[in-house]
Amino acid sequence: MKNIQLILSAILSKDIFHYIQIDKAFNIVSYSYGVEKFFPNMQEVIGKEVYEYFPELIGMEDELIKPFFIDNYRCKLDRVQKNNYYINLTIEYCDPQTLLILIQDDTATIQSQQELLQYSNDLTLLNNTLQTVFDQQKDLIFLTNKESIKFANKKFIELFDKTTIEEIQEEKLRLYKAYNSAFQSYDELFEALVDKTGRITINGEYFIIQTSLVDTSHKLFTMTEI
Amino acid sequence: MIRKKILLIGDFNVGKTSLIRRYVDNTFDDKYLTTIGVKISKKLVEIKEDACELLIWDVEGATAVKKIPIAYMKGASGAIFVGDVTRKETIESIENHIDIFLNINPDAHYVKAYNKIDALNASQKEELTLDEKSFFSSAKDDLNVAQLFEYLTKEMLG
Repeated sequence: MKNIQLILSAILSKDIFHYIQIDKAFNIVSYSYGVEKFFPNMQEVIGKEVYEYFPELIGMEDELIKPFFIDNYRCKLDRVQKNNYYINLTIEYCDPQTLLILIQDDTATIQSQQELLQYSNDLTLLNNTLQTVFDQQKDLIFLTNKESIKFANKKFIELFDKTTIEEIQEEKLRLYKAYNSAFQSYDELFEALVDKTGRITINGEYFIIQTSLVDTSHKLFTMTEI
Repeated sequence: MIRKKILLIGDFNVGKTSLIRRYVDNTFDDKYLTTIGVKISKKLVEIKEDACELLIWDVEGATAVKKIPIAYMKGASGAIFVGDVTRKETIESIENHIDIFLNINPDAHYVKAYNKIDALNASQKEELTLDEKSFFSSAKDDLNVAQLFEYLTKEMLG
């Protein structure tokens, strides 16, 4: 009875609906109804080594026994994929002879995270691809937004003896001054170059500069070496 | 039977899952599907007279803002560090991944996979240099995939 109360207490305190109880030899002592959904071919489980169902725990033996010796010690392993489910594992003390593996089914949350991560990673790859395409252009290209340079290709960055866009941004370049010393912004440079090209001198080199509107906030400038 | 936990570690989209799928199932799909969390595959390897069950951890790739969870690395006997030869930054980050991994598992063994080598032409390949722990690999062309795992297994079994 006391054992059941311990298990119930552990489960209810963490919004967890499944558990597996193991002994000091890491053999399964008991488990909750429904845990089978994580393990295809789960049969005659009692007495079997837990590694058969959780190979994730192999190599973690030193961690697994710590709850027996350290008060309130818990081993955690999150976002484990099992049979199309994602689960979070917490291994904690149950009684002097056993441990509880508490299983939280977090599939819905982690699938949402996976979609976001996929989207984010795809965007990063696309950004890298576009950077490569721009870097292969003969012209020097930079993109402005709110009066600062947000993007530049390799040839542009190298013109200023820099290697990254962050270094260019730290310089707070005011290239519109090279076109017209009275100009105060890239917007003014953009307005001056609409439907025409201009000439600009930077670091002693001569360029033809032209521009185009990418969207309402981004302006693209292209400089061709003369 | 001897059982060894190994991980595939690297930045996202370098082909870790593809290497595992090629090695374990002999399949390949070039569609990129981001791995989240960890998924374990098993593979029995026989080196001379020793049989070893590899527990292969396919862990989510590192991104600029998210590193690989330390908890996944604990207790590992080995790792395959994977970089994508078409993305220089993923090759450069391998040494950082190795440092973190060996800090947690000082006695572990490792090997490096310069993956997606099928995407480079001959002159591009010549620009890359390999050390004794490195292999060019391609899950797509099944180049050096089994060799990576077998080399690591031999190292772990001593």
